[in-house]
Amino acid sequence: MVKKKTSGAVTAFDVIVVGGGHAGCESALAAARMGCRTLMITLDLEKVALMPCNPAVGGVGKGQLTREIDALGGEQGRNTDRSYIQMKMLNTGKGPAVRALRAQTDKKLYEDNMKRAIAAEPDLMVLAGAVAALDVSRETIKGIRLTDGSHIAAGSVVLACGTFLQGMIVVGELRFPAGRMGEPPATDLSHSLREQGLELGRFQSATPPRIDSRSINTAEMTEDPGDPDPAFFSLRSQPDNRQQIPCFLTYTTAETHEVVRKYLHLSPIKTGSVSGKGPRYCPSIDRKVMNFPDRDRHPVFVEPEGRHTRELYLQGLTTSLPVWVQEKVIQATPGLRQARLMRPGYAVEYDYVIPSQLGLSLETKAVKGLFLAGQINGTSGYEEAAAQGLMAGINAALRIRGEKPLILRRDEAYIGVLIDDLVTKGVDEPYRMFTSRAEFRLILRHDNAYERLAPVGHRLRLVPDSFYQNIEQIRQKVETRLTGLAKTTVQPGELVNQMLKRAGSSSLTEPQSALQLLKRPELSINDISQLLKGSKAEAEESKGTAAKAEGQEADRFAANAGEDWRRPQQSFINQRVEIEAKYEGYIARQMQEVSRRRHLEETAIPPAFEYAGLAGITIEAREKLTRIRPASLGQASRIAGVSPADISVLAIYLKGR
Amino acid sequence: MGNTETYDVIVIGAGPAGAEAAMAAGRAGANTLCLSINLDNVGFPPATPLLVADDQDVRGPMLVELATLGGILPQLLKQEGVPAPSGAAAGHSGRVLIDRRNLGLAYKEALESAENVHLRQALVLTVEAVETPGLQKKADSARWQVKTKLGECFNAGALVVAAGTFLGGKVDDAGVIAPGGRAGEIPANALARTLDGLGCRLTRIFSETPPRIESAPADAAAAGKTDIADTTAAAAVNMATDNDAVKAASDYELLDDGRQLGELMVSGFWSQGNRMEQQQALRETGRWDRAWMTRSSWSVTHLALAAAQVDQSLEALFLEGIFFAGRVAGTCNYVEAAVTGLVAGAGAAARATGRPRPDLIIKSKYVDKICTAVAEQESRPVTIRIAGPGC
Repeated sequence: MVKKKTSGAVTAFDVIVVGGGHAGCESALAAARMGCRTLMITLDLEKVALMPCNPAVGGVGKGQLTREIDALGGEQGRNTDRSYIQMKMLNTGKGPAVRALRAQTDKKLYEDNMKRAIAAEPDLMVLAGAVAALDVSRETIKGIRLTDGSHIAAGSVVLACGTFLQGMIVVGELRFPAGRMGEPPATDLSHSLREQGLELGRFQSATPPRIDSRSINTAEMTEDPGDPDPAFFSLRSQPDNRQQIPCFLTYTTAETHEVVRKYLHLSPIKTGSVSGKGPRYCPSIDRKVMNFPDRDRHPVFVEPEGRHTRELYLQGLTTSLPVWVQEKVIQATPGLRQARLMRPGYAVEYDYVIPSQLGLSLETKAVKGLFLAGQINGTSGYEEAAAQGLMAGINAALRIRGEKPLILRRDEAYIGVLIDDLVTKGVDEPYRMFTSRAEFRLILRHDNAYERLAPVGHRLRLVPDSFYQNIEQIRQKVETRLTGLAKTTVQPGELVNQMLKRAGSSSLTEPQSALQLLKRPELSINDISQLLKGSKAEAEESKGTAAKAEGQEADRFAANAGEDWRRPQQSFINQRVEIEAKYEGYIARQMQEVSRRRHLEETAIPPAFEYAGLAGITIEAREKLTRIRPASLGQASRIAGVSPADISVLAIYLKGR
Repeated sequence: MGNTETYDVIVIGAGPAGAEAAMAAGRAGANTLCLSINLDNVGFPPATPLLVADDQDVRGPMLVELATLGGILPQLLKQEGVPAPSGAAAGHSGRVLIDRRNLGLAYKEALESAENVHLRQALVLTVEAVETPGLQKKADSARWQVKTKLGECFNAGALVVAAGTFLGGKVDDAGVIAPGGRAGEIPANALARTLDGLGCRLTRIFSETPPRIESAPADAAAAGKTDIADTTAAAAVNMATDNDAVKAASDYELLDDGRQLGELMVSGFWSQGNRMEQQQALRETGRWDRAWMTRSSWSVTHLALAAAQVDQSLEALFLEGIFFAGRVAGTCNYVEAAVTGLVAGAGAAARATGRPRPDLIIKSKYVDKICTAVAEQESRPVTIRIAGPGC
């Protein structure tokens, strides 16, 4: 028989993370790596890092988040690199601000690899269990209580429960409680959050049907292969020779839309059986047909879910129509006429915490030491979840250390944009990252993420020394190279002009720096290297020395190719140099804009500021400011309903204090 | 409404019993639909990683027989590199340990790739007779209609019920008793009601799973040499050589349970109370005073067919074309589940297609014994203790 535990031995951790999804894993790893004794609690340990929806990471906006997570020492980027089945750089034909990496992943491998990362962390424990309530005393978190009555104490708690809070699956007119299909929801925690005075909202998300790869006709679709020489999310990843698996692209037709229209009255969005608001940017086929009646086709990407499974994900055919209608919709689409359903699509409705109740550290204002991350804050997407998870984990750990929270500004990181948007503007639909959300996107690029954030990650000891040194080396290389190019003068000459002509560029009439030449849109860094060799040959005839020096620089580059970090990173350095050179003017202008606004961002508003006594601002502004409690004048200026006039008043008042 | 798809055989459940049944039916040429509540858990063995205890364990020769019958489990073990007993291999300890997750994934891949087998995610609500069973003897006619939670309808000439611990399952997870098939998964309650309505006599049976502990707790590592650190290190060495378990103590045994999270199952340990109380009890054994319990022990009670309701081919005596396999038939481990799955699947295929069933099955000694036990033995779960522990 078990003796009842009396007083004394209380199980205690520094940080408890509730949830083992993408936000939870990132949170738990960060806190543990920062030296906190950390416990990750999840309903089912078999489902850690599960990708319940699309088998992909990255994309425009999201890919930048994943790269930033890596630069801060998070796991998502590396884990994706370990688990990919296809890599693709998107928007290579467009400007550098919107270029982004996207990976198809092997779902099961992704879980396995993330579990291994968790198991490798000595300060990180895992526990299968359901949290029933938060243990709060004097507005400060003390720990959690499990449904079995166990108490576990903690200094900080991160909640990352995804779609499980009062989760409700909706298919056609059917509604039943579930966190995901086949899994029970978390029913008690919402109540506990409300008890702490937190206001909850209701959102909805949906996932498309999965079909059997044996039942599709690829001849009727366009093959969509990965990049032949794939880039990686993490500079730490080494290239491998793994065989990539193609996706396939097909389009819905008028016939598909006809089927949807015929049965639209059965869709939850028509019957009203979904009460939560869905993601605008990932609309179901039901909604697309309804909202865009003139469009005669919508793309459907047919994506493999792994190397060892025949399940295919139908990106673009998200639906929560009745299953028998789902089959008709799929089968009305070219390439999918014989498609056999393996998992029906469904919608899931869940509670989220209205994120304007959080501070920029992701700590709730109501309960000190309670942090929220991921879908519980009204976002959608693994990348958004992981980014918040990482930040919540870092800040939960910093709180244990008694240090100031880490807050990334909007001009520092997409992560900063994400959190500032959530906290300052709130959400009225599931939030998804886009490059258009970042006003400073030209300086928040995929390629410069390490320069922006690795010093932060290193200071937190999340980025190991060796990797940081490597990043520093790269940074110096890029600088040296840019300086070298600026110093190198290319003389007009027959050989040089021939080469320019071949590259489709106008000829040189007077000497110009290599950097100036690189700014020409039609010339790549490789063209410049070639040009410099040509120039060097010509210069040697005329005993020029500057070009020789640059030539040596180029030779050194080539000679270093054998060092382990260089091979994947050589092209990265080239890309960095090219972007910095070509977009120098735009980047400089954006930097000016950043510094112009800097004073607003740096004018702090005391946490206990009394807006009630502030004369001259509108009632609406007073209400909003009191509720959101912005940390700075900059944040205050982004609150909807707070006008520039209100900001001026506030600025004058703060100055006077 | 939608079309009702018609199959020869529908298998309800995709655990070790259901998977084997679907594969056997598919091999026999029956167009087979295999339904699982959650496709992420297909083939997943929920409890112990120990498939066969030792060379005295009846499950060893049973596995050998399963291999000769073309069963999928022995093939997957081979594919996964798990040393399995073969009839002739003397000197093998007889012990078979699996990586539960990898075996589950292998099952899923096999089912997805199998000819004539269609795997699909669905929770079965009801089973109804399309035509009065017993009167219609036409082999290929659809006798049974299956309806799912999401409103799908499927017809089939024969069914295999292999719902495992999900049939009317109630999980006791560290003292919290709730409907559940396994810890963290929903049960199949409506199916239990529908079987009851069809006149099946169901009886509740019990199964328990010991707790898991972290293989390398931080504090144990920090403290240097502790029991747990020693046994884990030994386990790691042993895993590499023999894929075998380590005897940590005479009464408890640590079994390597999944290489991803690095957990160990504390075989032989059982305690009641909530998670922290269980953990305390484990520490108080004196062996692992710093162990961190990742999963508490949990138990499940579920419904299974009472005795004397099926024949030796595992077909219900009074419901033509409905077969039972695995835990719902009253067996208690993966190998028995697989064996009964194969028998039921082959029988269902034969019933649905009108082709004769392979008599090889009947001639297999242990296969015959377990099927006879399911048909005739009063006690549930059935036990066959020919040469060692049955369960």
